[in-house]
Amino acid sequence: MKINANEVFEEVTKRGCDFFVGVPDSTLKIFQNKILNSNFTNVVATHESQAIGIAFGAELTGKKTCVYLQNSGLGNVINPITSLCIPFGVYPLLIIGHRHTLPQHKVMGEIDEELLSLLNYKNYILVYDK
Amino acid sequence: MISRKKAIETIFETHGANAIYITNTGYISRAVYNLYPDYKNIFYMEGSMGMAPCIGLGMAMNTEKNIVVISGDASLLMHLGITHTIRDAKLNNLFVYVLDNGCHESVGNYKCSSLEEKYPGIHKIIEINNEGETPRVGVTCAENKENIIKFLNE
Repeated sequence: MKINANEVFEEVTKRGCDFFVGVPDSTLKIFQNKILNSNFTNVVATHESQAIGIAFGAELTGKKTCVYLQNSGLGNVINPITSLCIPFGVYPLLIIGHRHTLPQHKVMGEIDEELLSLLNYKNYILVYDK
Repeated sequence: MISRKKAIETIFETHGANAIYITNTGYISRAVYNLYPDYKNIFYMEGSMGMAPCIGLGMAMNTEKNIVVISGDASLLMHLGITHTIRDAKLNNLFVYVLDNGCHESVGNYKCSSLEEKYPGIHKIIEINNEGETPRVGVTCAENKENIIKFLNE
């Protein structure tokens, strides 16, 4: 699923997410500011994989979690997705800022969806800034 | 310096049967399982090296139960950033222990970088001896997850 930045918070809360953790991205500013202005718990992690670990722990307590990151951070979450989330059947909702214009974002910008499809990870939303 | 077995027994005696324990990849999970194979309050985190304190934080933020993480030294170093996130969360029900044997023991005793004496968010670092091969954990991921969810809801 692909949606615009200003629709993300409403979509995510409509899906029942009540625990937010991630590494901030400029594409997700509107979304991140809406989290900050809400009463939901929000944790800013120091690494995207740690955000997945924190979300995993929260999921076991019954929380519905949302992990936000930019697509370059997708490379950082492959390990906890393959070694933790998939084996235990716990799938936090990933909100991924789709960066693709600058050289450092070009490669991941072209393969992010393919990578998630290869992992068979379906619970994600790609966010475009326009 | 004490044995890994003694360190684990001391941690379990300290926090008791009502706490939830999250055990690290490698020989820590295996050693805990072989000591307490029937306990339903242990989450064996066998993959995703370094994630045990992260899982502990996510759990501790959303339960009143005590959450006890038993990590290893190389695993702590792999995701040192989480120590600061744990410090900032200011929880009084999360206890992260680090069993420090100076190496990646389960993959062949390869030396890891040595730890500092203290880290934020870390309850205690315990220096341990290597004890060699330990049989694997005998609980499936599905059973383990079900046990923990049930225990969290008790």
